[in-house]
Amino acid sequence: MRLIYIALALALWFVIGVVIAHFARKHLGKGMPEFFLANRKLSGFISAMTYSATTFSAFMMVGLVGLTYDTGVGAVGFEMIYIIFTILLLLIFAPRFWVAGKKFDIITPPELLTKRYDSKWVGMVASIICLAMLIPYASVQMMGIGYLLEGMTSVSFPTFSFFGYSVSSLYLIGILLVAGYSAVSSLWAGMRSVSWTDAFQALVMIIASVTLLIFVLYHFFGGPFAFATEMTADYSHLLEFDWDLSMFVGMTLPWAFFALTNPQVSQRMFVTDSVKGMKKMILYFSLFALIYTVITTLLGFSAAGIGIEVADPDSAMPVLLGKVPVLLALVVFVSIFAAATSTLSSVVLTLSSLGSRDLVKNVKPNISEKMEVYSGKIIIILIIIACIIFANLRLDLIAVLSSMASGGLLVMAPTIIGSLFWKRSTTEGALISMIIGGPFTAALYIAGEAYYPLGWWPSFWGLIITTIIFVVVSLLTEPPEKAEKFVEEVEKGVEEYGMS
Amino acid sequence: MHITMKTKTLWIIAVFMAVISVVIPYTILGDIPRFRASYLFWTALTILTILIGYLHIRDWGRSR
Repeated sequence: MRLIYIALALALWFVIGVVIAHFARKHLGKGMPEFFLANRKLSGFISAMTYSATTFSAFMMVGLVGLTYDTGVGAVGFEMIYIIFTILLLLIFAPRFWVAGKKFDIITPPELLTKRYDSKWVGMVASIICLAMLIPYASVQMMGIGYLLEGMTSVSFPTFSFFGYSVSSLYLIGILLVAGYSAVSSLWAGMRSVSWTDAFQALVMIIASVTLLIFVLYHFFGGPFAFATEMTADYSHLLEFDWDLSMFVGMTLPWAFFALTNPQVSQRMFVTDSVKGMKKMILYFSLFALIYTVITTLLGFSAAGIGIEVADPDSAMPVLLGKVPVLLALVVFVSIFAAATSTLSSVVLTLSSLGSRDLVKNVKPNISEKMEVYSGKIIIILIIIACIIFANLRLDLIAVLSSMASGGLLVMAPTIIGSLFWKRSTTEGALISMIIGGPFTAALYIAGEAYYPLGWWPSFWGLIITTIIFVVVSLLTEPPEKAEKFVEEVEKGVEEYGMS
Repeated sequence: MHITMKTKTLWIIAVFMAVISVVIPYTILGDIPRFRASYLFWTALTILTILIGYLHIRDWGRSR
């Protein structure tokens, strides 16, 4: 594709994003809840769209399409189980997070743990786990865009040396573009600008993917029924489910708990303006997730059905885009950019809130709210710089660190669930389970598949070990005095708002 | 701590979904090379969950 088309499309998208962020800034007030939670005043629709755009990264249109193209219907199961559990977890936890946030002035998910377990160390350990797991994940979002930009153009750009690594200037342009956009949308007006730009990007993602699917089904197959007939006749092996059980469980387990363990999404349970807003957030997200997953997986089957042959499954989508009209390919290309940047800016904003509220504030409790916001903004810049450096090093280790992100965050699941549903759970149980579980799971990922006990994935073992430690240590120690009152207050609030 | 029957039911549904979303495709549907097998099963299960969600939240906010 000609570079000028891509440059124009991205420039347009960038300008729209900046304009939206600028308008969001006009509504920006002062203080931590305002900057990091849009003062808990987001409408149901905006909340649902920012939840969707944050959850669904470039993985959907590149990774999931490739996974379906390569391994068939198992990829559908993996993603649909994620949606099923996200809906159920939202139904159970969203009212409780929302009430706790309002009653106890909670800004971040680790802060909820700090208040429930009455220990700043619980929140600090949870925050450190999030930072360690999510910075590589954020870097990979940038790398994905850099690779996509390189892959979509046939123009060769000069390369230069970066810490001894050879870096293409086009790859670097891709990374800087994403970094710049994320910095603008998160720094400009915090959650308000991130959520508004997210909403715009979510709409681009869904419209672009629906259009692409309709075009592909009619142009290459003659319609949906002909597509189904052809796939069943010629590619039936893709419709058979033949994933290895340990792989299926290992991949699905972290995603089943994603809504609780990933702070960039769980923080969104604090932001809606009302009960009605929360109902809309859950319902609209559910429908978005279902539609987007059906589309991406059908595109994966289509890529196989039209005879695309690539060694790397992640290339299936770029090759497919080479077979559709330029304008459509451009819109889809921008939608993939949008998916990556919306995830990245949300992760960066959430991590900065964790840094300022759960680390800086806990170390310096007397810091003013203005300084807290200021430190959050500095942390945003530091995280983006760290991600740019990581992304340019292109270390193999980053890929491993990124894939362990969801598995690594899973070690917080027992502590989070216990905080609201097991009053016997204790500070020691939370701390020891995360401190041992985190490094244990990370070590298994880094050691590699040859060291997985009995062939089961680190996420599986990590969850088992942390759950056992959490339960046993909790039973051997005493829960904090305030714990019962905290949980009672939350349940009382849930009842008062008519959500029990 | 008072957890309502509705919340308890959601936990039970979650366990039930976890079991059937893995067991059925591995035992009954996995070998059938049709869209109406595993693909439809997981998609239908997701639609069912959305319906459960809708019924669950329908009355939220009414008692206030």
